Amino acid sequence: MSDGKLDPRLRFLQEESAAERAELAESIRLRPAGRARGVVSIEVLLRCRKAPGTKVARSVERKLEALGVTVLSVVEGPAFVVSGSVPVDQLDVLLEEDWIEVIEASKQLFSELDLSGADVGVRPLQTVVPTVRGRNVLVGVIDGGIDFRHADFRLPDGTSRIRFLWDQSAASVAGGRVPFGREHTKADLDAALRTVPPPVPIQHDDPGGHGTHVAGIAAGNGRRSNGQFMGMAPDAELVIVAARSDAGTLGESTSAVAACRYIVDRAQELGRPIAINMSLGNNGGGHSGEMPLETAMDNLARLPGVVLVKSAGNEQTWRIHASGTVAQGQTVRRQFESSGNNTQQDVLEVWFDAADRIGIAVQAPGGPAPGVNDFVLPGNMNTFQTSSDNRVRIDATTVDAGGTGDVRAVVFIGRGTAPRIQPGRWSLHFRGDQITDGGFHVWIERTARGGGGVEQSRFTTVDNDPTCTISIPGTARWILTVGSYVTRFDNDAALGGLSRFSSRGPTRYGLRKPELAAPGEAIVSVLSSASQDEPFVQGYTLMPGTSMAAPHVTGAAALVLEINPQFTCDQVKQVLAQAARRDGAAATAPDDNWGSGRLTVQRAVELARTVQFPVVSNVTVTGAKLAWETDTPTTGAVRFNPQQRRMALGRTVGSQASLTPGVQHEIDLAGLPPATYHCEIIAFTTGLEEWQTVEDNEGQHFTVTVPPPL
Amino acid sequence: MSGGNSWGQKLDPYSRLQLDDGLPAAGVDVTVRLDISDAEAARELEQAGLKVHAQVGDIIVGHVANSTDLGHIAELACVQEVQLARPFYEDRNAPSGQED
Repeated sequence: MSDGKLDPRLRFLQEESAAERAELAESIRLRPAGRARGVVSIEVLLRCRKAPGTKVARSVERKLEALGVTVLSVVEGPAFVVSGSVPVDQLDVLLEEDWIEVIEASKQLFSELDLSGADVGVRPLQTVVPTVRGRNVLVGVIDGGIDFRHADFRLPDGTSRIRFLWDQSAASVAGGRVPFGREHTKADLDAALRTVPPPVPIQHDDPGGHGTHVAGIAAGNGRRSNGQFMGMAPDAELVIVAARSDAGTLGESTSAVAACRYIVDRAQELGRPIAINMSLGNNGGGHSGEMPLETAMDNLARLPGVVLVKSAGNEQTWRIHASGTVAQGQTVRRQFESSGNNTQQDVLEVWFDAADRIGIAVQAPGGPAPGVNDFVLPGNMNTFQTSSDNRVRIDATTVDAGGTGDVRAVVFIGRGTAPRIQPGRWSLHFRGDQITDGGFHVWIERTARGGGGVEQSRFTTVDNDPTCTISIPGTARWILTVGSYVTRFDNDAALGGLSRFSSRGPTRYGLRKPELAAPGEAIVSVLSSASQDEPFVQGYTLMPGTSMAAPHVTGAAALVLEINPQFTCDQVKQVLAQAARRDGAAATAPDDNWGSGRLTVQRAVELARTVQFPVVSNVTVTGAKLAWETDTPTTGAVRFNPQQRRMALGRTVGSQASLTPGVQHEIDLAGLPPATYHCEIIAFTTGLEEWQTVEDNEGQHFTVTVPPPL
Repeated sequence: MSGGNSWGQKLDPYSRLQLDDGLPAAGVDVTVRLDISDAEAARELEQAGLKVHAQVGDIIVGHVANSTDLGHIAELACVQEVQLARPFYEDRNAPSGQED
């Protein structure tokens, strides 16, 4: 018998006589589920390991019921989390089962449902006058939709808290202001919600439940649970975009740009600041913020009062990334495994510096090693059929992807005329024909992950590189990207530790990502009435993922914007980073796993009240000299790169500093090798807390030409 | 093959594959990166066959009804690159099946 897995309060109850149990349960605030013939049952939460006989939810349910447990719900993750009730007399029987790892009383559970809010320190802000609850701030959510009828998205008078809802899948209406789909205003939603006179129905729901859950974390007001499951910014109003979803997807890169534009336009119309949440992504790109979608996000993130928050992604356990260096004349290999049930197209993105001439070849499992002529060089493309009738296309014709000076080669492996992609180990070969740097990165693009993810290929454990796994557009430079840590026992990860699935940084150009970590495992939030998810309690359900971490930060950003509606995304990012806790497992922060550490909201709001970001003005370029002024004494630096797009993405070739505090600064770049440099200026405050302002001429940079010596 | 055209360089590999395989009858959504951000560029794109959905600075998204128009769009001097819409997926964690 294992004593360690039993909640001590249950042990206490178990040791009491049967006659006294009901009273004791009440006195120690356990939740009796019932009493029949003198037997007291208690609501419990169980964590059950996947083992022979307990690999699927149904078998877990059956086995538990045979042991006397009345099962309410089973939530699958790396382990199963089961809620239900059990007679106290049966606890010993459960303890004998080694696949049952934890037995916890539900009273503790019910208080833990609120744990993430408590962990990030938001509750005092919501309850202690003067409260900070997101008043006069908007929260935008781009996701699968929302259960707008749920009480948590309604005001006490029953009307909607949603100002606008753009349903991108709905049939278009002539004369509407959205380019496709249909827009519903608050007036439309209120008309649909009213009971007298008869409501005007709106055809919108959220069958996936993801968007509703995310919106509940960011801004649910907890009305249905009397505040127990209140979100981060319960007084904020909402602008929702329901993305077109199909076959496991959640919108596309193009509709996400249109969604962001729409949300920011509505916020500007209303004269309100907005924090926008995106708990979605993919792996198709170079992971340094160079994709057009990411540029669009960065463009919007420059606006005052606009904060964009993106989930880091859950790619860490999927082995999506490999990297390496190839020397001139050398060939290196990276292998990935295709499962036996891969009916989708595998897509691999290969990125390297265009100064290098690297040939790429693909070898199917059991196929012949590539010959000299099988390597596809930058500027070229090749399509061939494998002996298993799969179709392989290597397209290396993009030699200056997005103006970055990088080669983007994409390898498509399709079923061809075969029923599936050939199972086994595929090899990517990289041949260094002409090498300056030699570094390369490869990502496996994400596909729909049904059936336990068996469809998607992944790199071998030997070739897997666990860094640079942030999902796109989370690699955009100016937006805020959020990883996940554990505040519940649901997963195998230790309490307080980083979630095993949480994607890691940095970007391919070495920029730190994610910027922050927030609770993202087994988070309880609003349950969409149209979804098939199991309720955890009425009206609420439990989901894991960085999808759930991001809206904690989105809501926190809304609270910071309530204090100062003019903050930019970068300024909110700095406030949240400065406030972040680095305790326990987060002591390694700042790093590319945790970012600056754990979200700490109350401290962030305190900082937001007092922080003064320096203002940079009067920038002049004279010859190779850059000069500028600041409104308060600062130190400063100039970062530069001859390639403008790389500079825009935060990749520098060097920097020079001006370390004497003052309001006037001048840096002479004359000592650099002759070239035209694209520069940004950074002004640093000189107090105990360092705040900075990056002045980059609205993304156009300051151009300094260093002439050759006379 | 689209990659062999002078404008083919401006298309991303997904667009090239789609063009070579034949665009879906319903057309495709694309993202366009402009060399410069101005209203005139959006008009030029409209004339070339892009139904503009939104513009954010130098980035424009919209719908292209047929493959010929995709080439017309890529040929414009103001266009730096054209990318086909790529699907997104929710970041709710799904068991990976092969936990490391």
